[in-house]
Amino acid sequence: MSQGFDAFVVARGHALRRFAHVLCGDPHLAEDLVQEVLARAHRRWERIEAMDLPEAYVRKAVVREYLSWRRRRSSTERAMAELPDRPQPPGPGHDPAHDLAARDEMWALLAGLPRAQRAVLVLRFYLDMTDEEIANTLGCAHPTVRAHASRALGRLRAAMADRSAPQTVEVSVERR
Amino acid sequence: MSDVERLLRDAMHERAEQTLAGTGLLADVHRRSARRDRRRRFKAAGVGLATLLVAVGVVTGVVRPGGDDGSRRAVPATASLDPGGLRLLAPSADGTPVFPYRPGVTPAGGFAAPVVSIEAGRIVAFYEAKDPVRGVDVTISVGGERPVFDAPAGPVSEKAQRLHGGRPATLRTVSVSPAAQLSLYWQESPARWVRIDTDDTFTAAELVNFANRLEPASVPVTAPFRLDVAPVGMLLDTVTASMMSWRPATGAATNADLVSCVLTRPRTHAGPTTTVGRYRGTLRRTATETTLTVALDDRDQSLVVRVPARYPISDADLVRFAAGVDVTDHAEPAGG
Repeated sequence: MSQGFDAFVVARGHALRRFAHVLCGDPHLAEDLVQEVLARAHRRWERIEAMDLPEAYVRKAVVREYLSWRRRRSSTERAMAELPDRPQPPGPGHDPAHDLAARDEMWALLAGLPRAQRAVLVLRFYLDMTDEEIANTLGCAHPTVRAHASRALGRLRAAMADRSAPQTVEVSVERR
Repeated sequence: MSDVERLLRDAMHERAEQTLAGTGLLADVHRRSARRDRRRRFKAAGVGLATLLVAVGVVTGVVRPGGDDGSRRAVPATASLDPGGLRLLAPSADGTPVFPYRPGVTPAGGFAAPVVSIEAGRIVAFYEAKDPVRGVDVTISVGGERPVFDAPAGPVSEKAQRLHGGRPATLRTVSVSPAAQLSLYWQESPARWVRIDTDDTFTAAELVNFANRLEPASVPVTAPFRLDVAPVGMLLDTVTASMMSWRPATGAATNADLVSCVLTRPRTHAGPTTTVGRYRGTLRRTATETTLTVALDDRDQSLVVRVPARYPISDADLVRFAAGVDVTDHAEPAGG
């Protein structure tokens, strides 16, 4: 059992950590998250390994752990009231500094989303999952996935628009 | 794909690329897996939680079922702190603190079993939604004082509400992006204040309905330790997944006044060690406190027992106190 498990962790461990980092927003907490899920998977690895897609199973467990785990800590977490001061964007175009600032800003806004909305966005935009796959991972219906995505993207657009007014951004909620 | 969606994708991939490639993941996972196995064995051999929490004679500054005021009842005979030092006695079952409510309505998917803790004398129940997508988490806290809020992270508004029976309540909303924080609080009786915290997944009307539908219950505190002995004549101040602490029964107390047991990540031991049950520990005395740090080798964690210098305690008693602390399956190390 252990050889197969060890090989999986060596081969896919870093990918799982990157995914968890994007999911929870903090590399140290991501490490904790992945360790916890893998430690639980260790004992049952023979059964997990026999599945068609063991990595998908583990990734699903990471998402579930994140959703539960983050809430256990939620009483000590505070939503971010103000984003850190950033340099004013120099204007439209492809200024690398502007792009970097915009990505940083988006990352900070992502951190403030409710966990389920954030998970939907990460599964959709980081893992390129379909809504059906996301629904399966989260254990919910397709309309719920779409509702979360719509609400989250709406919030992000509004926040980005507020911070970069008078610039406007195209609204495109529906997907797939 | 819109600009925001493209930016979102780029931001995620950029951060993913910044994740450092650690080399110790496999070893860490094996260590954690082994620790989980040990915890399962401990659990199998464990005893009931209910009899193990609070000291005999401790003034229980927490709410009890059927209590109408969240009273801080003093148990006779031993309710005052012995001026000669910290006294330790075996806990009694009837001193076990309980949370006095359960939700009468639940969000979609229902709630998981509550996690009940004590924070600065207030008893707090965290009800986690089973359905992480459609559900909503709710924290209910009960105490003898009007709730005090941390510095808000955004604009605050308060609005008067009426609960069943005409009880006045206040709905407090902190408008933060992207999800507002909602709190509803009211005075249930002369010495009991109730506060409910959630987010804007609940509407104001749903939160008021949730408050109106609370039902009496007796939910025990989720304790990180079973105690063979505990301080006499002190209030249980804090019980979390990693810590239990006690404060003087009277007068204002700061953290420096607390007797505490804290589970931590493993600590380095410097200096001579002493036997603490089946473990080894390091005892350190300063002008302000005495600490005994015990290496829980089989858990890869440490237990730190701290007694302020204002409560004199002998080495033998401190060792007896620490040796009687059994870590439960609910415990998690601080910062972990």
